[in-house]
Amino acid sequence: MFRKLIFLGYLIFTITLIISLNVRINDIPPVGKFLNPYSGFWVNGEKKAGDNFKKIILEGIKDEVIVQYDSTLVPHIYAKNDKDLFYAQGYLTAFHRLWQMEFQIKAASGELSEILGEQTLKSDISKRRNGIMYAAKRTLKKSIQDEETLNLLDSYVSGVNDYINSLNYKDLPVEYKILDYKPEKWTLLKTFILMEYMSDMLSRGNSDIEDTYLINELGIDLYNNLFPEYYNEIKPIIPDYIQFDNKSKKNSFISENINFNSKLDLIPNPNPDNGSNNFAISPKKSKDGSSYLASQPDLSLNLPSIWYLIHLNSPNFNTMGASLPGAPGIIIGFNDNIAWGETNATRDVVDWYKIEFKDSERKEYRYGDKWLKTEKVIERFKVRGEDDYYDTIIFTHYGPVVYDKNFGSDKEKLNLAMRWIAHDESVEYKTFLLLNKAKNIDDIENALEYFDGPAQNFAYATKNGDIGLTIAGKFPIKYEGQGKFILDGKDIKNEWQGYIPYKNILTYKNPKEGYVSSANQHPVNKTYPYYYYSHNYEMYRGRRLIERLESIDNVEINDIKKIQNDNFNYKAYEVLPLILDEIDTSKLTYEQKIYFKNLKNWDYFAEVSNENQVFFNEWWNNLYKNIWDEFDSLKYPYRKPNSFRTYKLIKEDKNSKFYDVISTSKNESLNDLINKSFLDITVKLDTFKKRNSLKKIKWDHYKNTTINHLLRIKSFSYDSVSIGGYSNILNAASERHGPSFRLIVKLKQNEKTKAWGVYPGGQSGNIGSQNYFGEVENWGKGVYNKLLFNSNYMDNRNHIIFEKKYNIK
Amino acid sequence: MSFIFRIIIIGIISFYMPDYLPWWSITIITFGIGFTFDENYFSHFLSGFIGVGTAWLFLLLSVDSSTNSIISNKIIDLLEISSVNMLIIYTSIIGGFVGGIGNCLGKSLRDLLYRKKKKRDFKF
Repeated sequence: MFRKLIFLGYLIFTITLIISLNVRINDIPPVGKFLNPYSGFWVNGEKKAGDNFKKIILEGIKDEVIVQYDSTLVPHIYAKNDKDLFYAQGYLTAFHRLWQMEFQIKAASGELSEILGEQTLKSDISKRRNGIMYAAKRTLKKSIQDEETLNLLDSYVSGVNDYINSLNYKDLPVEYKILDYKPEKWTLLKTFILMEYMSDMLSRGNSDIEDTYLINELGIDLYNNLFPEYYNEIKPIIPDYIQFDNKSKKNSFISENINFNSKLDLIPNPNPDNGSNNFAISPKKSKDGSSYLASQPDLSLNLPSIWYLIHLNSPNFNTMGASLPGAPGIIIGFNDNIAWGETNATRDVVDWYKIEFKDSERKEYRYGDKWLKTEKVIERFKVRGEDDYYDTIIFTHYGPVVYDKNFGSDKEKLNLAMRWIAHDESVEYKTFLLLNKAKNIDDIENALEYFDGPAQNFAYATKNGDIGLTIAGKFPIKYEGQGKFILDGKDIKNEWQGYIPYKNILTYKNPKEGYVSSANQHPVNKTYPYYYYSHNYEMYRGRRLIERLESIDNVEINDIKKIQNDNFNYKAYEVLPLILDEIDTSKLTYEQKIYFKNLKNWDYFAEVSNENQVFFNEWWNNLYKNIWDEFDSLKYPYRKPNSFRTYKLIKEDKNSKFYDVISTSKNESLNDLINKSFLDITVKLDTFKKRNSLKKIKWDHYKNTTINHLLRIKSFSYDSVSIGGYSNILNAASERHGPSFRLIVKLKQNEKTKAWGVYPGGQSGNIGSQNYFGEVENWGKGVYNKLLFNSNYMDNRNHIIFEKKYNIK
Repeated sequence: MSFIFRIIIIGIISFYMPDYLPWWSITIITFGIGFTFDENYFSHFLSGFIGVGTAWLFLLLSVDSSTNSIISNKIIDLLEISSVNMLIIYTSIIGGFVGGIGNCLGKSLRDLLYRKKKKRDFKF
């Protein structure tokens, strides 16, 4: 009996021990499973970059495929047909980036809590309420009607799945081991969710609800004064000399303002610095008759990078550039004949409709003199370690009711439905697949017709010497001012009045000035017959870019590199002389005078080791905060006037009541504010120096540009990259945000396409790879890699570290 | 002699265990040893502990040095462990402990199935 008990005791203890070392407890990875030397995280380490290429088995190919990797781990795929090409793209992208691909989709579709538990539930609910899945399903439905696109997408999906199926526990990317879960099957829908993920990042931004509150609070005059729609000083993307004459078409219905005054817990806007710059140079402006394309998308800086470089070659394709892991084809890139790049076409394509339900059942809502039926969708959220959570989302014909008594709003009566262009069915992938094989400017224009969104400014150049820019995307036709504020959903007149036809979208080519460019500024002058609006047009990068392009001639590759890495702080150039003039130098100490003198002599370049940039940045933030402190007493979500408006206030209105700091009894003047904040900053910087025992503060150190791993694990992230620039500067590297890719392409007749590129990260998403941080340092320094691009794989031979010919089995 | 012998057997099998088996398969080995050899619990536990622990130690040292500690340096930060060496030691101890317990389980089953005559002879 005693022995039985001992045996039973050991048996129970052994089993309990093994189980407890095999599951994740309190966010600690499963100790035994994760740490063991056979299949734990250790085996994810790579001996040298790319020593696991032998694991690549392309089982699903129909014909011979050659795969090469160059020294930066960029795959070069040479296939004999398109299906094999995209199959291999899917497989090889997953090979380097599987965890990231799936994680991004989980985040976009609101399923992160399955993996991360309750901490991400709120973000998940907001994604589902924004209707990202709803949009992806509609786009999928429309896109699969096009057989050619469908075939290629299908091949991509099966490539990803064949890679996933080849994995044992020990081969899983280490993030799966840390969080203890497994990859799921890839689907067509996931590839479409990726596009909506991009829309969520690029086209969802709006300030309609905040501005409805502000206009009620401030009154129309002050609101219009502080938040003008655009500024004459800023040159639009489409050159000002291009005028439109069909003004009569503008609809001028005036809608009644919604009286809005209530607490709303808003879903945060995407990062306002999501932007970019791109430009193309025509042969006549270049030194040797080449055309150039330069593209630099500014996004959140993450590891693994949002971009994956790849070269795709088949009888129909020979294209290379940045792809999005999870999507077939090249998104920003080039082929033998053309090159293209996108910047975000900032425009308000989200509107909010106030919905009046018939009763608390919420089955019907008023529309004109009728009651329309709603559709109720019950969303289920799997939450790791907790019970499932259910959320009921009500759909109207406008779109989902995002804010209601169950989410964000504390009032039964405040129900806001979201009308977002991304909810419409569309066929974006077709655009990219056509662009990837375009031969000339006509092919490009044809491809862009299929692009609905997120709206982008496509700049392009061709070997024939054509350059052009098209603001591609589906844009609603709106009456003047429509959708700046919450709209009354009852009123039929508040519907979007259709879409701007493709023949009337904004596009121009081969302009006399020899270049096209864009940097998220407003698109066009006010003669354009359609109303456009955004709360977030860029005010600085566009001007600098145009001035740089105007000032150079006989353009060469180095001129373009210099522009992409340009650290000129336009904001400082504009505002610093004004505020320095207000400083009363007689009261300054010797040390303070040195700061003053340095600022006075500054050339406004935010270079890596520049201290003036640190001073100016702090000073401006402090001043801005004190000028608009009145806003901080507002009860509900709001926004503040932008920097450019603030500069104009300082320049033009010396007596504004906003200069008074409300927390003090004194009535401050502009001069008081400027002098006080100057002194505050000298103290702040002196303290910083003392604490870190520094003689001089370096801008890169102070700014601390960090490239975060998607799980924000510190040791998987790259801290404090040495890089100049800042937001509103062409080299837009701020704390967590910046040029996510730099690409320059040179196209010359009778010559091979040449390209240079760099992005902050490595091709391999494996933290155990030497390539994981990849080109981060080079990116910071403004060093580019020449991209290996040959239509014959034999020509790559001197530059590759791996080559294998895959045959059908 | 048996003690050293057992350690060597456990060590070699743990070292060469195929990586497609789940990591806890080491307990199957030590269980078998515990069941086969007639020794006391302490001796069994120690042979499993040292056998598996040493095998893991060598495995870990070799995988970590061949991959230049790139991944382990990142993981120690995540797990808040001071150094890669400490992580290797902790991991080996865990492996050793699980192995040793497997031995004891085998031993307890042996005790259950075979009555020990020697012990009685000694007493009476």
